Amino acid sequence: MNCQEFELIVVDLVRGDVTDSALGTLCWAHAANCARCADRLLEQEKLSAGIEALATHTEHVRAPERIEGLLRAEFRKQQAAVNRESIAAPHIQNLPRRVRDATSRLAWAMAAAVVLVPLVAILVAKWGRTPAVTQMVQTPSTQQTTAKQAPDAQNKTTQQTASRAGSKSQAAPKSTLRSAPHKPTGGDTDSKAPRKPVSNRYPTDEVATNFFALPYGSGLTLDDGWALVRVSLPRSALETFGAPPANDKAPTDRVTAEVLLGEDGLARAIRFVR
Amino acid sequence: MELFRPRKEIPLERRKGIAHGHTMTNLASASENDLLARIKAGDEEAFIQLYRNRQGAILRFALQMCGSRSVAEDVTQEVFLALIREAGNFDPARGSLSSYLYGMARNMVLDHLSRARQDVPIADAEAAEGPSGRAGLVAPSDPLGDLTRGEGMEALRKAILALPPHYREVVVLCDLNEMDYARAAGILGCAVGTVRSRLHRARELILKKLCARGPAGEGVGNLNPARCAL
Repeated sequence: MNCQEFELIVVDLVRGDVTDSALGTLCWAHAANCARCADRLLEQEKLSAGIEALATHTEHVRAPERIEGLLRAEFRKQQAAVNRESIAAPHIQNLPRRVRDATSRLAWAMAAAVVLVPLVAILVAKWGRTPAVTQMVQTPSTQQTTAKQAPDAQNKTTQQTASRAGSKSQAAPKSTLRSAPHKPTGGDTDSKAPRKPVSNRYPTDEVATNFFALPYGSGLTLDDGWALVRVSLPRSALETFGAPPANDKAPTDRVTAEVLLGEDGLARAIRFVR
Repeated sequence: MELFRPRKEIPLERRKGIAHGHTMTNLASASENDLLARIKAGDEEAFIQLYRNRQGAILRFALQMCGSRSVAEDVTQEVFLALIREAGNFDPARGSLSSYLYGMARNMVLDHLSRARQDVPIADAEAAEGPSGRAGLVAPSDPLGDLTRGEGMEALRKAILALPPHYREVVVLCDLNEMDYARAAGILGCAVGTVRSRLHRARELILKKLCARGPAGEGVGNLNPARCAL
């Protein structure tokens, strides 16, 4: 053994961690023959003796009684809380902690869903409507009119597509439509939102003009669906369709009209109702 | 005439004693795992027994690591409070309860040490004291002469406290608390070889500090302890 090897093992030797007796014998033999390593061994032994004395000095250190009292009180408090929980939900307490945590998270998620879903539904219902739209109706007479009375040559395309849309859905909505644009895909609307029949809500003695095709609506089809939207317009809008100028004395008068909208939301035709 | 006598309320402690029967007398000899199982079941006396068994070691460890009695007491209290709150989280398969408690104490002490960085390190404090201050700490002729008594022991304690925390903790665990390398490695979360090499290095640093502060070592701050004149 040389000094370098002795240096590596001297601490273990002093601590008694050298379990190989042959190695231990070699170390002691080297220290007996090397003054420098003997000094190293001696100083490590002195250090170990000092550390041992220090350890003995602090051996009987104990925490004060107040800590035990405080811990006892905390333990009782904790147990009381656990007991309260187990009384509130005894079956939960028998489950493993991981399952309990998952159950707790699920319960919170469900509670949040119960609160949020109606809130979102209300917001969607409120903001989903177009402010300009006063009502969207499709009366029996309207449907007939759509099929029969869109007569003009200009209006021909509109008439055909409207008829097609009507025929596409056998149970085409005969009551109020929910929103525009609307795709008349059967009687879902009727079944989900049973409403008062339109005939009861709007006077049947209404008089309506023919449909006037709107210039930017011509050429577009109504293959994907359509909707009839009742709107309120200023009387001056009639001038566009050849009516005499609005009376200056009643410039704010408004007229009721029905606009035929395609699935894309663009107006195809308009008619006036009184 | 009183036909029905109201039943006396049995105190909670007595009821627990009845419920556990013979356990009250056997707590002192119960293993740590038994105690822990009873603690999880809400047995207060089992907790107190565990606290009494272990608080001394935890307090000593914290005291030797940070050198402050009040901090050590706070750490001990916090360790057992954490045990009350998190007893369910302890997994015996991952290590002994003792190691778990030491591990918590170690984390708290290291937190404290990192917060208390503004404290003046012992070497600087001594430099401020000047040569007269040093002379009072160690034997005048031989810095390693008698570390087992009075000033020598105090100098040794300060030298240990002046070690960087990762060296100090191996000295505290392996030397002051006489743990083997494997157990210390389990508490510190490192390899046995790392613990061993840190302990060697830490002891060298202690010797260097002790030799440097004696009159013979004045002005030889980089003295190699291997050549320290004894």
